[in-house]
This record gives sequence, C-alpha cells and structure tokens, in this order.
Amino acid sequence: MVTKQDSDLLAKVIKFLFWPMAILVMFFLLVPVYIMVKVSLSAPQDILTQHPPFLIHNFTWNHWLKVLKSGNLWLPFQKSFVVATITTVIAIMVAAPAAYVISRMPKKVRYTVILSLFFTRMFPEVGIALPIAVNFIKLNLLDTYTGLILAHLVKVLPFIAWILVGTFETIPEDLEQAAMVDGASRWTALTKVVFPISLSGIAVAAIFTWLESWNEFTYALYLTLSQRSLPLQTYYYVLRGDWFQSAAYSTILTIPVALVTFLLQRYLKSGYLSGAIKG
Amino acid sequence: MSEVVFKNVCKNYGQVTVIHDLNLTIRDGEFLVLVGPSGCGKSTILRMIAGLEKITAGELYIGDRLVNDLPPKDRDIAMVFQNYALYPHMNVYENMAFGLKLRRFPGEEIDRRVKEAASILRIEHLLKRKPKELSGGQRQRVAIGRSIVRKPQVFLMDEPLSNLDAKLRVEMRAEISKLHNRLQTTVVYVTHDQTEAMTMGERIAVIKDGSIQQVDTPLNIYNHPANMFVAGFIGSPAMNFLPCRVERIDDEFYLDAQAFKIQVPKAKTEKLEAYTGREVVFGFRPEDIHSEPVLSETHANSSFTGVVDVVELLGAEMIVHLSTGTHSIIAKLDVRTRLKRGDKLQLTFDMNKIHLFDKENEVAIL
Amino acid sequence: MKILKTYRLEIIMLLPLVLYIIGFTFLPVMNTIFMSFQNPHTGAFPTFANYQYIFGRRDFNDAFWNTMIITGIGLTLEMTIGLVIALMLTKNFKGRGVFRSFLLIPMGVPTLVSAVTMTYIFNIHGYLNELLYRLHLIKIPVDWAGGGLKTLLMIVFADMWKVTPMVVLLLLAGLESIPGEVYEAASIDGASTWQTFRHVTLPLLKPSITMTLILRAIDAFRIFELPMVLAGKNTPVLSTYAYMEYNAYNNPYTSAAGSTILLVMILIFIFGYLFVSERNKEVI
Repeated sequence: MVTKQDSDLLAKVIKFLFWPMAILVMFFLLVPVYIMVKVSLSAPQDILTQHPPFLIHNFTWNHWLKVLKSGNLWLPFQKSFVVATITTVIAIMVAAPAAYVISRMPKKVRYTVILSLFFTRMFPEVGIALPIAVNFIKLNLLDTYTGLILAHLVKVLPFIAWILVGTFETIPEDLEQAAMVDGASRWTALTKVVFPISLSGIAVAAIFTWLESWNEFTYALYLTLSQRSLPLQTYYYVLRGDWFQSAAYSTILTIPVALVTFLLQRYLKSGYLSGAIKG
Repeated sequence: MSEVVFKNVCKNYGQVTVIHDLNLTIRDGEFLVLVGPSGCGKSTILRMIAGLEKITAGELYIGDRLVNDLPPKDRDIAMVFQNYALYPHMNVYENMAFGLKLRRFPGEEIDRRVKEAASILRIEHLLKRKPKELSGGQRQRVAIGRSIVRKPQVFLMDEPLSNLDAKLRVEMRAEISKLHNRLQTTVVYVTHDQTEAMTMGERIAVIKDGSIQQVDTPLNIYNHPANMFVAGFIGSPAMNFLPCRVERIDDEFYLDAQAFKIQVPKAKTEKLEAYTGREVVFGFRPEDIHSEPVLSETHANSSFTGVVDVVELLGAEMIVHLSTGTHSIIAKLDVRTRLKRGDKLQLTFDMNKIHLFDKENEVAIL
Repeated sequence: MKILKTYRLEIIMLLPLVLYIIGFTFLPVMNTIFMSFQNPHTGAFPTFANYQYIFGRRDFNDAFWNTMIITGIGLTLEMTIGLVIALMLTKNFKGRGVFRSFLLIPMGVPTLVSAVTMTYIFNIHGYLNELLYRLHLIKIPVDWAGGGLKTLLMIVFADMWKVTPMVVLLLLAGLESIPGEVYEAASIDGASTWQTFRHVTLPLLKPSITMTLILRAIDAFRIFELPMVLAGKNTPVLSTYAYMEYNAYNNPYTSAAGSTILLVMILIFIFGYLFVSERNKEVI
C-alpha cells in the first residue's frame, strides 16, 4: 500500500519530469524525418564520411535533380499511382455495399462479422502472398498492374469494409425507411439517400485505402520481377547502398502520406488506427 | 375509401410474439391514436401499416387492397418519424419534393404542392435551408410538410412530438389537429403520452403487451374504461384502486374497504349480485372525491376520513396524498382549505362515477 | 429458399466481398498450410519433411527466437511508453496541440521509409554512432546491423518509432472515454496519484489495452519490412525467413511451413491472451 506521502512524491516526480519527457519524445519523433530530408539535400562530403555533421553544411539540389531527370522515377511512380487508384475504386465498389448490409445486421451477427473481418489480419502476409505468387506465375500476372491490384485488394478490403461499417452505422435507419415510405425502392433509398449522406465518410476511407496501396511493400515484393512500384524502387536503392537516391525516393513516397495524415487527422479515430495506419 | 383494416394480424420476432391476433378497423378520414406504454407494440402496428415490418400472419387492408406483401412505396401512405428523418443532404424544398420526384410528378405540380404545403405550415422562408440549420420545431414542420405534399391515403405519425419541448409540443398538438380538420385524411398517430391521446384522437386504441385493450372515443375511454389497465393508464394523476369486499344487507349493496364502508347507489347494483361476498377492486379518479364538509353530512354513507400525507399545490388545484387505514389515496381538490401534513379530512365519493373491477381478470364490472 | 428471396438484395451486395475474402485470403492461407505438409518433389500429402527441414536449419531457429524477442521487448516498451505518453496527453498543458501534432509524424511516414531513415541513423557511419562518439561514449563505431541483440534492439527501436503514436492514440481514446466524475470521486475518496492510476485508470482502460495489445502483437509477429531493410539476411525473423526460403532458395514448400508456424504462433498468442484475461476477469 502506498501512503499519502509517497503519492505526493509521485505527483511531484511527474510534475518535475513532465517537460523534459515531452521534449525528449518530440525530439525522437522528429529526428528520423529530419535526417531523411537532410540526406536528400546534402552534398556527398556531408554524408559519405566517417563523422557526418548533424546540420547541412553543403546544401545541394543535385540528388533531387538526378532523381527527376534520370527517368527511373516515372514508371514506378505511375505503377504505384495507377495501382493505388484502381485498387481504391474497386475496393469501394466491393466493400461499400457489403459494409452497408453488415451495418444493418442484428447486433450479434454484426459483431461476429466484424470480428471475422478482423481475423483476416491474423494471417501472415507472407503466407497469403506465397500461394498467390505461385499461382500468378502460372497465370502470367507477375509484374502486371492487374496482379498487384488483386493482391492489394486482399490487404485493403477488410480494412475499408471495417471502416465503412462504422460509417453506415451512424446513419439512422429511419432515413432509408422515410425514403421507402416516400416511394423509393430499397435500391433507390440506398443510392439517393444512404450513399450521398455517407459520401464524406466513404471519401475519407478511400483516401486511407489509397495510401495503404501506395505504400504496400510485401505483396509487391512477391509479385514483382522487374516492373517495380515506388516502394520497391526505394528498396532497390537501399540494397544498392545509394543513400541519396533512397532518401529522395523515400521523401517522394512520404509526401502524400504525410499530407493526408495531417490534413485528415481528425478522422484518425480508433477504427482507422486499428485498421492499420501502418502504411 | 382509405380504411385501414387489420384482420387477425400477428407479428413474431423469432420466438417472441409482439402482436397477438390484432383486429382493428381505422375508419376513413378518422384521427386514431394508438397509445400505450413503451414496448407495447404500438410502433410495430404503425410500421406494419407502413410496410416497414412484415406481418407474420393475418391480413392487412388499406382501402380495398390487401397490402401484406406490398412494399412501402406502393402503399400510398406517408409517415412522420419520431426523429423526423429529414434527409440531411437535401434542403427543405428537396426534402419535401423527394417523394413526388420519385413518383415522377411533373415539375410544376411538385412546385405547386411544395409551396402550398409550405404556406400551410408557415415554412416558406425556410425552403432553401438544410435540416441542420433548422430548430426542432421547424424540422417537425418540414417532416409534416414532407408527408402532406404527397396527399397520401393515410398519414402515419410515430411519436412526432416527443422530441419537442413542452411548450412547443402543446402548440404542435393543436396544429396537427387543425391540419387534420383541413385535410380530412385518415391519420394513425402513435404516442405514449395519454394527454396527447386524449386531446388529439377522435378515437383512441389503448394497447398493452401487443393486444388492444379498448378502442373508443376519448370521453368513453375516460368514463368507461374496459379494464383496470385502461383505467390506470388514461388520466393523470392515475385512478385510485382499493381492494374491497361486496356486501349485501337486505336490498342494499355495500363496499367494505375495512377503513370505511360505502353504499353503492341503486342504479349501479344490478351487476353486483354475482359478486356478493367476493373481493373486487374499487376504482375512483382523484377528481371524483370531494372535500366540502356539507357533502359528508348529506352523504354519510359515501364518505370516509383520511389523513393528509403530502400536499402538492398546482395553482388552481392541489393534489393531496392521503392515507386511510392501510390504503393510500390521491385526491385532486380545489385550493380552498389550507392543508398540512397530519390533518384529518372528511371526504366524499361521487358515487355516480365509481368503477368496480373483477379482481381475477381485471375487467370492469361497472 | 425463402431467406434467399427475402434478402436477395443483401446477398447480392454482400457476395463480392465474401467471395473475395474467401478466394484471396482464406483459400491462399489454406493452400499455404496444405503446401507446408506436401512433399516438394512428389507432391505427396501429408508429410512432415518440410518442417523437419526447417527445424534443422539454424536460420529458422534464429528467426523464431528473433521474432519472439522483438515481439516481447517491442510490445513491452511500446505499451509502457505509449501509456505514459497517453497519460501525459490527458493533462491540459500549453503546447498540447503541438505535442499531438508531433505524434502524427511517424504516422505520416510509410513503414518502408521509416526503415530507410533508420539505416542512415544506425549505419556504421551513421548518426547514432556519431552522436555516441561525440559524447565520448564510444571510440570505435558499433556495427548495429551486425547481428545479435543489438540488431534486434535496433529493429525494436525502428518499430517503436513508427507504431508508438498509434498505441498512444488508441490508449488516449480509451482514457478519454473514462468519465471525469470517476476521477473526482476517487480524489474525494482520498486516493493518491498512484492509487488512482492502479485502481481506477488501469481497470477502466483494460478493454483498450487488450485491443491495442492484440493489434500490436499481430503486427509485431508479422514484422517484415523493417528487418528486411535494416538487417537483411543476417538477422531473419519468421516473415523474412519465409520470404527467403521462397525467394532465395526457391522452395515454396518450406516457406509455407515457415508461414504456418508464424500463423500458429499468432493464434496461440491471441487465444492464450484472451483466455488468460477472461479467466482473470472472473476471479475479480
């Protein structure tokens, strides 16, 4: 049992350590990003040395110019962009109607379904990617957009369905019923009332889905021989030990993710977090 | 013709029966109120008319059509929901026009009807607003407007006033009644508030545990409740119930409540014969007890003495909680005498307005 | 038949998702489990040859223990630090908004990128060694990626940087859902800071902790990108081991065996944890 004096001590310790801790945490959070940007903007003599300085001594845009001019950026960028976009569109089309149905199920059934969506996360990605890769070799789907889209759907569908169930749950059933009394069929009630109202929720879910696909690494690794996506291109430069290229590519990869995270931070509720802002 | 007729309608959810063998005819143009405690099945009945709940067994007619399997959109009904259910992404005009658009009415007709409804409900100035920019009372009007533009055969209203504050509720009560007088369309109105039922309904159906207890005009329900549930549910403060024994001395019938004994008037004795010597439940409304001293002298055989427990002043009248013997009684008296806790009070029953109920099945004897 | 008719629209709407999850998640997993018991050469089933093979491999044993250590240390640190930061954020202090924004930084950085920047920090000529050198803590640079515990700690640190903010926000959501009256009541009852934490905050936060812990455990067991980028082949974990078996040794059957073991570990952890926490609940 803790006595009153001890408790005061604890309160004092907390008060004393609060700001040092806060500042330390903020420092740790910021440093890696700073270093990434710094490497991409520093001249080689700042980096390729036994004792690299912590500040940028010799500033240069050269790495960026090289990345942009080399012509190696465009194809991976295009692949990642197109795959992410198509994946998102298909994911919404498949998951939104299903999520709506789930959101209108009786509570117990709904809970079970949501839980089983969650269970798909327990399967190791390497275990799912392996047979998919083996089969895609036979189907000639390696290195294709189609193959990667199909694989990314595996990753994003449970996530987006989960999020959208939450979105639809907030729309009162009375609204659809009002529409049906007003003369709408079930389908019209959905397209004219439910989906328009949930549009902003669907849009936010879509954006996060897009990021999931944009960053995706594991499936891409299994399904790619030469047509690299942006994350794989970054990894390629890491393997080659090219710091400047990998830093620049990393920054490009990060920009949309960072933008969305900060602009849509109010949506970063439990659902999204547990759905994996893992990126 | 827009009668609504239930014939032996049942509704089950799995093993649970929520509506038992419902028979009810709602007449053309009538304002019928379904009233009962929460969970009694009144909303389910309404939603069965709307087609939002499937009927397990029996037949439901709207007009001459059997509508058991008809989807809501084909039933020609309109509904006002408890929380209004206005479409948040449409403005007031679009909300009201939505049903007409779905039915492919021509544009001018839609415009004419929406404007007409808006002027009846005095919401013309709100047509461009979104629901979230409206107050509770305004939303309520829009929800009603949305249903009247359709000119349906039947209006269904599911506790439409329960989300309004007390003052607005009284106002809207009168407005809805006025609207009904003007449109002369059948209205089925669900509420748990017996005051609303009494003031608005042309007829009231009192419902308990999925079955109808009594259907009648408000006055008949109030004065001649069919059973103890109806008697206790309608009226505020609620009717007093005391157990007592029927005694016959010569040709006179008496009610013995132990603390007091009163004589039943000749006109009411005819059905009491069978209950001689048996326990019954004696019911009387708080306003049917009087405290004028003169009365207790002239009607000695219908008077008793009570001790005041609590006095609640309401302004023009007061509610007095009394005890007599082991019984507690509530009386509604004029504010004439100053009463305080512990005062003894001579009270007289208005014997023409007493009720007796069978103790076993709680049905009214008289 | 009647159900089919009544819920026709619902079934049509639900079907694509269900079919996709069955076809592209459930069946592949089954396929993997099946392959793990299949003879690579003859296709005979069942056989334990694949398991015998990987159990005999040093890489696999390393991978197994590395996964356990990373998960164990990682989860402990992330949950503890995450809870401390979450508790700090429940206080109303000047600069709280800024602090919160800083927490979003790792979330705005893809995992792969966080791995890449960690290579700059933990490189033998990287920034951590430089810092330690300038502080006169070391003379000779440390080879963080060289293997052993220090490499695992490097991976744990990288993982922590990326996911602790998520843990913080999940726990913070839980903390914020505890009504303020409970704390007021505790303070009126004379509870000390520690007693309040131990007897009010922790029990009420338990559902959030359970959820966060399970989510984190799943991801920690499956960890792939960080060890892949930071440590390569030298320090395998189960995921990267399974990948190597497939990619480097071109042996999908042993890779499948590795994945299956990983799956079993995750299942044992989750159900074990739920079992223990359910049983404790009944005791209390």
